[in-house]
Amino acid sequence: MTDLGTLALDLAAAVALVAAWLCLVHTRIAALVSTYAVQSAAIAVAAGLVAYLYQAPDIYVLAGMVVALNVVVLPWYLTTVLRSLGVTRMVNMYASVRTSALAGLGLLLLAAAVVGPVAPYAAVASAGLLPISTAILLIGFFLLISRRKAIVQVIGLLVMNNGIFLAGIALTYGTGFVVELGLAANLLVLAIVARIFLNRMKDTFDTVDADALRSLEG
Amino acid sequence: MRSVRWRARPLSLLAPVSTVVLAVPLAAALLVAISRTRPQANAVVCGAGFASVAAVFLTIREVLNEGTASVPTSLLYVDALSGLLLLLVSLIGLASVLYSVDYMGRSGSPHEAAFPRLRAYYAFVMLFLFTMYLAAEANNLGILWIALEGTTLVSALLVGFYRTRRALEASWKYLILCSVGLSFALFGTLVLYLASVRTAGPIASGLDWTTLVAVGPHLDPGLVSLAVAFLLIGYGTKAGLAPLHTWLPDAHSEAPTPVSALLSGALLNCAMYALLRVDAITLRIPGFTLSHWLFLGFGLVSVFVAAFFILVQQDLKRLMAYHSVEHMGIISVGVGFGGVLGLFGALYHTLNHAATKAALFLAGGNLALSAGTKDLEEVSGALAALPATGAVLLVGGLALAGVPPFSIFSSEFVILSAGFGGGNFVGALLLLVGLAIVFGGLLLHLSRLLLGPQRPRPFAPGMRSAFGAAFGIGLLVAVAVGLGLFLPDPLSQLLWAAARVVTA
Repeated sequence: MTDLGTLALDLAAAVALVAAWLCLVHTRIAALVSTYAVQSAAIAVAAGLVAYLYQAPDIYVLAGMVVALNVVVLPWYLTTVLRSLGVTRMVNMYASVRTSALAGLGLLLLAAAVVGPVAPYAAVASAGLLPISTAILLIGFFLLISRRKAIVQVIGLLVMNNGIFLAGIALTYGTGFVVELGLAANLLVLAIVARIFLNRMKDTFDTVDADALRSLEG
Repeated sequence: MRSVRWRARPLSLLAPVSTVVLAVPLAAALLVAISRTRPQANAVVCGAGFASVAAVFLTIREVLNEGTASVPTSLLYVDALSGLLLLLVSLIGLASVLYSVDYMGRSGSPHEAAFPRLRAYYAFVMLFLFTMYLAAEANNLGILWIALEGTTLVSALLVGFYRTRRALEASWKYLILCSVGLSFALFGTLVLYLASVRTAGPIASGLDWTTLVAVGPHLDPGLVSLAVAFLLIGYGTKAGLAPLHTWLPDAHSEAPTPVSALLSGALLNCAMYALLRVDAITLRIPGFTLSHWLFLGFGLVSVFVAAFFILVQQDLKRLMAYHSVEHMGIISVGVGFGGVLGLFGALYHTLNHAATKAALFLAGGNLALSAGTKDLEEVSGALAALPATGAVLLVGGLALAGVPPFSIFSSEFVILSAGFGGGNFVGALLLLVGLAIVFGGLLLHLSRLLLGPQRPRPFAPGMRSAFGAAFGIGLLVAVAVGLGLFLPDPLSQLLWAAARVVTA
């Protein structure tokens, strides 16, 4: 493998990481969706690079799947959901933009500290990929728990899944077509089920703040 | 023995009977979706319920004879541990389906669903059962994950079946929390795969459980620690282990009653099953104790958190839901104690808890229906007003509290013996304290609910004449009570074999 290849791979992973961090800073949901699309594209590029550098045809399939699903279908789908729900901005976050931005950096350090030591053992393309994908996973989790809009919780979940995709690619070996297809199908069904609930939420509560969902306790 | 094999053969010529287990609910989901009348739909789901139990029995017989059941692809694998989960899911599934017919499918029932909605409900229940059977038969850990995420997606729609505010809230919380948990589990699965690739090389079967167990002794402990942490948090969320249990009481209490029984009796055990598969891999690594401590820790925290909420609980279905947290905790402690005896106790307890709790949910549904409320403050004296339902609640409640001679007492006894015998004195003592608190709390609730003075507002007649519901509940009560008195030989063989699958 060439140094240039590793460099390009690290660059793509870094773009995905920065995109995850930007998700914590945006307050317009449409911007969140396009950032998610950019992140997915970076991960697809990383997948293509790994497939080329390691002659792993499985990963081309994975890259194609990410492009089709995460770059095109899901962002388009989220945009139509946003339009039908009529939400644009995130007001009332549990954590402010500044706190979120700092938390994102903290999570990056945490991922580096916890996963960094085991990463060199891993049969991955680049030692940086595993900590970066862990960081994306954790940042997506933070996005999910710190925002009140139900649709943003879904986006947080999708960002988490992008981190997992990147980790899968970092292994340089596919996990088998059946498994990968199954993962993609699950993601798609999740998006559909979430929309069903979002629509019901809008009809029932006249809001899509997950905050309205607070009556069950104890 | 020979005649047994002889009779099993003609069926397996067509397709392995383990495949039939998967095919039945799928076919039933399709058939019910195109059914045209209420009786047709009812017949399809009841037929599927009985057919599944039969297919599962045949599969288990094959497992007892051969060690494993034959499967069409190496993505699947059926051994004694799978057999036990199949047994649980099929029995609870049958009881829930029969109960559903009376609860929603009978015209004149207070919960009667309009036909198109009933059809959707049945189809989703069948898909839910399919995903659970798939989880039990998966060999590839990726397929196992897909099956478990599938259970989340399907059952979230079932939890939100009544489109009330509370049901919507519960199902959203359930969908998001469990999907997040499972995302962590998927990450853990990938890390485990990484460990496998490092040891066994990039082979196609690297994510298969059979491969991972075979290369277990050579896996890198550092990578496996990372994987186990993510897997335990992930599947632990789905299994309802505290402090990740917060979705559980909401989902269990707001779901339609037959779905509550399925969630508590079958679904939680599917997640615990995934954890057991992971435990089996880590037990092969010499000197690896992280999972032992995690099981013990999560288990004890679950018992104590549940004990607190049981003491202050005011809602009948939430009370039972917190008991699920408690019992998943007990099972987890049993797994943590480890050894063949600890595992045997945990699996035996799984069976007993599933039957007892599902029976209680179904009977509790009857009571809530008659009383018109789930509020424990407003219901009392149920035994005199509803003798049959009250008797089931009394027996089930006593069994749940761990009173001898019921089955839960036996399995708790085994788990505690494994704890004291294995030198885990502190853990076993803590478990005893937790059990004592729960015992007191439950008896307090039970005595007021069943024996207290009859409340002024009269009970409605409920589902007294419903044969299917009575049969379903009776089946579960028979298991819950009977297994404490007498453990049939094949079942005991299955339990020991399943325990050895994990420890060997």
